[in-house]
Amino acid sequence: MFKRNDWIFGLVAILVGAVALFGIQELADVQSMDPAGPTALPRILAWGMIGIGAIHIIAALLLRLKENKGEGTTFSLRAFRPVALIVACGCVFIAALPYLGYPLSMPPLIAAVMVIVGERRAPRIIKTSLLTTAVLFAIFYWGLNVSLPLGFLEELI
Amino acid sequence: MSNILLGLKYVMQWQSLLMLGVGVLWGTVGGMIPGINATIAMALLLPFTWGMDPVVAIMLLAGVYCGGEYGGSIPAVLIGAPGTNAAACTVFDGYALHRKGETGKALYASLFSSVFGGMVGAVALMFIAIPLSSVALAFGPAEYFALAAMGLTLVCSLGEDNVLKGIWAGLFGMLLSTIGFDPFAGCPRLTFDVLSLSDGLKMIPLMMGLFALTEVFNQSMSGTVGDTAEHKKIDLTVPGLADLKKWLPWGTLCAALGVLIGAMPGAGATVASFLAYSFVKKSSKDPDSFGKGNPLGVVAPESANNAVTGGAMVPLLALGIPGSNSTAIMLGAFMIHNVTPGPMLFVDKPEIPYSIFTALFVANILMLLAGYICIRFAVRIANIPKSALLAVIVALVFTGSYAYSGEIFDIQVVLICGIVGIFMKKGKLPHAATVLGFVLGFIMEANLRRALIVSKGSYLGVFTNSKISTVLCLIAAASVLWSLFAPLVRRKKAATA
Repeated sequence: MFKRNDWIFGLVAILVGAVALFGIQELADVQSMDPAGPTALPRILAWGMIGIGAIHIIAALLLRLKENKGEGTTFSLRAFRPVALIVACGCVFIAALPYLGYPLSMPPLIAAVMVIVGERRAPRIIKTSLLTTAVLFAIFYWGLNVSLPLGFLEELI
Repeated sequence: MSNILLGLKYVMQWQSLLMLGVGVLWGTVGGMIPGINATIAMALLLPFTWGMDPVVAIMLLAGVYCGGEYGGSIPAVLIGAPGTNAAACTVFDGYALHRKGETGKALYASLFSSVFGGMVGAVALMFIAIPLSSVALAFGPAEYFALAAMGLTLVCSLGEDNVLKGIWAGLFGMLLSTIGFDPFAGCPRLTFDVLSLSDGLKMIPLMMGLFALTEVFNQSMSGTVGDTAEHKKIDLTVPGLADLKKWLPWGTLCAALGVLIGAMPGAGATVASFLAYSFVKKSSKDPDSFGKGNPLGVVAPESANNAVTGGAMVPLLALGIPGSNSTAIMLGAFMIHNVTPGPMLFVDKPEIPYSIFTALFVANILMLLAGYICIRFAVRIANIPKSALLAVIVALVFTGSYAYSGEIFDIQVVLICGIVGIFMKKGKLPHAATVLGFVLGFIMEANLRRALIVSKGSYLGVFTNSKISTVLCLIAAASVLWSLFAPLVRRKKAATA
């Protein structure tokens, strides 16, 4: 059931629980119409998560003490490179969206994701990014009346 | 019977059939687009119903409602991104089947079970609307709490070899559901002074991040995919009679569950699909195959969430209470046309409720055709090169989550959930448990606190004041204990053998 490096999960689990407990600290004095109040459930959940985290840390340490070479989940930071790059592109897209607008921000995002996942054929990248943006814009903006951000294009239109 | 024939007479007019067909197709397409659910698809059509005959207008919306609940399952199977909240459960086994090369089985299991579930819902509505409404009214806060608790016990079995990880993921989902304004005290909770978190996290961005973006991240990590030739033949074989026979009993049970859940105001299709999935997984002889491509994992949620369409009409038509967002839109349509739903509607204007009953039945037959067309069209998505597919999924989930709320903040939520999701995947923490905790967490907390007000602060009173809640809580407790100790029992048996 437990793995040698479950201590990583255990630490994260405790951290999440601790953040939740910290977050509800200031609500301790809040009056509520119900007897449980706003902090009861988050507190129970947080302690539950901390408890499960602690169990995993102890179990992983015990396994290590026993020098049990049980299998563990291995993380290679290098493998996360494409994820980090896509996230970075997403952040740039989010930052650019209000200014450049949807029609101009989306094609570079699509193109970047395609390049990150290994696509090298420029015509395919250009075609996919422009076509997808056009189709999505048409469906959401005109078809479903969603006011997608237009950025500086709004003034031009 | 004469009233049903009256309803049939209205439905069989060409305008009604045309509107039903248009509604079903629009709903299915709307459901397929992430961020657009049945409610939004109905709301978009509402202004067009002003000039219509009331019966025809309601039929159009009923068609959209049915199609919308089904449509969400198509992207769930093909790209692992549920089009609607209720299709979240379909991702677990539907997408796994698609990846195993059994796309046809997954898509048609979803179509057939949706149609079947919808029909069961319609028949239930025809014959037991009034008694069902009284059953629904017997469910108070304590019963809702117990029902949600029972559904949550599924998290214990989602953690594969580590039950505790499944429980942690469920607790994490519940914790996420507590973010935002507290419904009773009216104070912001766990928002860390981020204004956009005041309304809490929304289901659509959370699901898109945890399911779709996580899958994109996962595939991008698995090496270069740009040159992968994906022009393989997609298997679209229609499941045979033997499969249908196997699915029928489960589909019937889950549809019945869907009708019951649908009749309860506030529960809805998402809760129904999760409870049905949980029920089938726990009752199955091979629970370990769920999440790895068991067709019953598609049949259960789809038959339940489409049966909800019939059940949800019960409180609306019999009591005048809209139990879900979609039926609230329907109520809006009633009001536009000066129709007051409630018990007197059956006496004053019987053609309206009985036309709706019949229309729901016919809409589900039309859904077979609409579904077939949409499947043939949508399956092309699976044939586009993988690099383009991953990029399109990113574009679609970002656009869909923005469209749902009109806030850029929701795109940030998708991105963060994607990052959380990929680490959960690598750490073998089940996303499904987090989504389940998120869906049921709010229902559980709100109803527990309401029940505590009723029981004057007695926690024991919540469980013992009603027979229904006592039984449901006992089942939930037994289910948790079984999930915790069953692996130990199995290991012991294996060791002795």
